[in-house]
Amino acid sequence: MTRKSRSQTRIPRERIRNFSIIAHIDHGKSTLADRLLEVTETVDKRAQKDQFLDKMDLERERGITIKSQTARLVHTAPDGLDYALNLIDTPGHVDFTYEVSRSLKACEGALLVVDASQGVEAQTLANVYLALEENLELITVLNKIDLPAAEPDRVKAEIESAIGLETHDAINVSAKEGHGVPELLDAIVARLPAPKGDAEAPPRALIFDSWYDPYRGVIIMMRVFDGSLKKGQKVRFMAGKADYEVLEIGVMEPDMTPVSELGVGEVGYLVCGIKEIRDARVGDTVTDARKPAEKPLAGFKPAQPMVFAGIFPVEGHEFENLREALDKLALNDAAISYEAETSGALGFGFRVGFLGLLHMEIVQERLEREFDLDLVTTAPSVVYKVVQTNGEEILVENPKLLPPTQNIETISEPIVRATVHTPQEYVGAVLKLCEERRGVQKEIAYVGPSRVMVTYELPLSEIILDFFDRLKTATRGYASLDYEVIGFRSDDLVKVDVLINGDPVDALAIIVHRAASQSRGRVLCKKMREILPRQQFEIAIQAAIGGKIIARETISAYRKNVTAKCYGGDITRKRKLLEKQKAGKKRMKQVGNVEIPQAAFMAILKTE
Amino acid sequence: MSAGVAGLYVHFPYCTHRCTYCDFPLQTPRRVPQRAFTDALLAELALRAPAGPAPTLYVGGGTPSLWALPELARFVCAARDGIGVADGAEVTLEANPGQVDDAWVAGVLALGVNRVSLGVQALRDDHLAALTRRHSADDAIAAVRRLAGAGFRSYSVDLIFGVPGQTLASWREDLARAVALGAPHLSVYGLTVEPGTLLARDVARGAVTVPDSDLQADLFEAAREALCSAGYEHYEVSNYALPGHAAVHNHRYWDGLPYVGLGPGAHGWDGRARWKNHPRVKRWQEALAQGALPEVERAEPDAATAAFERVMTGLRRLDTGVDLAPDEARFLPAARAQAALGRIELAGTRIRLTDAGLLLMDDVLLALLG
Repeated sequence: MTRKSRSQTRIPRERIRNFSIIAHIDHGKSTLADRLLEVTETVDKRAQKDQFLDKMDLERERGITIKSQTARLVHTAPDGLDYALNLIDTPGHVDFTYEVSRSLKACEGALLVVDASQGVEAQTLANVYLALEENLELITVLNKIDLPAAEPDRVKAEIESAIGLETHDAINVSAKEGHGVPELLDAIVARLPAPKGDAEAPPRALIFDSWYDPYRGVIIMMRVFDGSLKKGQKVRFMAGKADYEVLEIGVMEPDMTPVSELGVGEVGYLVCGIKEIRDARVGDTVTDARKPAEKPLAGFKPAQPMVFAGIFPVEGHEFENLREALDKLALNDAAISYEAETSGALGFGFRVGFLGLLHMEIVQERLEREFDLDLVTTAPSVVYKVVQTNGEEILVENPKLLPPTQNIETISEPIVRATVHTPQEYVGAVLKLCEERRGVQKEIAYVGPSRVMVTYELPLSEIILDFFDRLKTATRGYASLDYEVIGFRSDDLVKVDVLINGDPVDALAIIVHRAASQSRGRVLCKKMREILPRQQFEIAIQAAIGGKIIARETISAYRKNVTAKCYGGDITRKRKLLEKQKAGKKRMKQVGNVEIPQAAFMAILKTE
Repeated sequence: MSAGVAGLYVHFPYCTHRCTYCDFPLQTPRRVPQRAFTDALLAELALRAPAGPAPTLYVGGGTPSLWALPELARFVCAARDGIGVADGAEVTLEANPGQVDDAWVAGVLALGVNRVSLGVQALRDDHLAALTRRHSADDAIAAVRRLAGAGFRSYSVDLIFGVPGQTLASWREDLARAVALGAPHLSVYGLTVEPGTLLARDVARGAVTVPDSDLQADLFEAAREALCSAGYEHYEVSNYALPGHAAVHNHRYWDGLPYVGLGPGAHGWDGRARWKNHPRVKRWQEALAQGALPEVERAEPDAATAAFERVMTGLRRLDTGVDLAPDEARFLPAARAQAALGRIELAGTRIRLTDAGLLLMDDVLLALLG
């Protein structure tokens, strides 16, 4: 059967299987997805770029999935019938927990993919819990079974003790070699339940992904729970409170293939000519505008940025270009928020809110790469809740905007529940790190004979602050981390200002716990001393709390900047060297008369 | 001297070995292809046929004292017979101490060479070894004495400061010894770690440590102090001379006068265009064999670039400085600010580096560049 006729065949609800793949970042999720597409002939092997599902270059480079992509595979089972297997791809990083949970909600089952040589990681576990919350049927897949280091029995035991899953029916696979993939497809058909739903009820479809296409507007990925959606139908976005007409409806094979209608249990895309991704948010319910469902599907939650950073153009006149770039990015990323900010040190820019650190890095990189902007990004900070003495509660997204001490009743900061998986020999080091970072221990549990799961409540600000680097160092790279914001908690927090030649540099201010403020101030001044280039004059670097100086470093002026060499008549070379020096200066931000390189703004995040 | 007349520079691209700090275009063959090189050079001379008579002739390198005297003679005669060399023209030859013996001295004098620039570089064996030079301090001193007594119009000694392991005290001793030798001209260069050199690799690996920028500044000032109090004029950033011994050829670079460079990697300037020859000997030769100009770059700087280059090179002159006119409208505002910082003196439209500005010349230039 050719691909075209397959997509035209309407497969009844009983023969639909909707599933996701849950895996740790490098345990082979994308490779397995590629193999599933290839074995079901959804994509031609020759046409296949490796890791087909990760569409963005950035994702491919980093080997991670940011936006989930989905594909409909048609598999002929041993009973001789065709089944529609909807693979719903999930983002694989801690910053995108909510997107993962929406993807899982669209499924009846999931493949739990574990690297047979490495075992269970914190992130896998977090997603498994999400899957179990949704009552998904799980198929355990041991991947990379071809590797000499594979230890399927040990890893199975680990899965049983860590997650409590039966593993006697686990499937051994080598996604790279293709071994075990046909058996896995049969198991999906045999073991995952078909979707249920009321075909006669008003339609309800869950948006689990959406992205902006410059030619067609917002493309929505959705799963139909009740009723059906057709081309030409007037539909309503229940949380977005907006009505649109369905211009096109179809399935991903994995390219967009239009169909006339999608019914109960089916997964596909909608094009409704929507201009802004904010109008079609992940988690929203699509229904019929004329005969709407009474209640939306449960669980819509708008993305809540927790991490904020200032983004400034190196060249002041690029401010408008930066605004345009952010506007365009926001078309495709409902999670970022931004508003104009003026910094005494950095001029005009934006305070941008992100889901987390990875999200921030991705946005920064896309701005520089896709829009060709030279940017200075300040160190990220979390959002603080401040209750003022007048009783007013405000959210502070920027340390420089913290009210004066005498006006503050309490400051609270976001707290995360952090789960660390580590080999047992590093447990001591992990506990020490968590204690240093103001952690409150919640649980320590063995998840295998030699692996331990440590759960702490930690301030998010401490996670932002090189926690992951330190964790990796303390455990020689063996630990994995997952976290989730659980609320706010008040603490004794103070603002530390950095002064350069006596002037406070607003973009370098940080909020830290009082007990750590002295040492942070000292480290910060030392870092600045290392990073700031020597200039023609002496530079004093100070850290201060309120008006009180807590640390100081000095950079002496350089005395020599001359080429005592003539280059034998090579005048052009000398001129070009000067021009290059001049261009280098332009790329640095001038604060007063001191040039501050980008690295200085990020140095705030180093604690040693 | 007519406006079109160009000083003549020849790049002799051969050395016995490459010193670790050197990034000049050169080769180190077991045997220098004397004849082939001179033939190619004569071809380039004929092809360029600069307007003569040449007011200066300067043979640099590389190690021009490795040029066999009959071959050197062939070139000098061709230059005299072809474009002509002006009466009283400064004719300079660079030399390494190892080759300066009586026969060589007599030979070059006979060819009309009236100035020798000697690559002494250091007066201590450990510093010479750090620079991977192959002569000893005694060789260098003997060569200087031989030149002093030979009857050249002038001669110059090259010294390098900022050598790995150098201290301020050891440099002061070297300067005292240099003064005692009595050379009428001294070129004093700071060691620059050029990218791509063996030295750069050794520094990056931590195998070699060079004096930091502050010590370099101290060394530069020590040289200025010692040599000026011994009667030398610090007439250009890197050059010192007793009265009447300033280098004539090099002034052409600083004063924006035309010069024609011959040989691989040589540069030229005719008042309108700047060009650069192929740095690789083979490519340079191949181009000439086909009758083509052996150039890799040629550009006519626009008016603004030419004006900046004129100021950039002119500012190196510490005796006269440089006149900003006729481009004073562009440069004066920045010049006034630099004068206010005490880095230059401003007299009318003429600027000159002060003692304080000397070490910060690149900052002054960056300010003027705007």
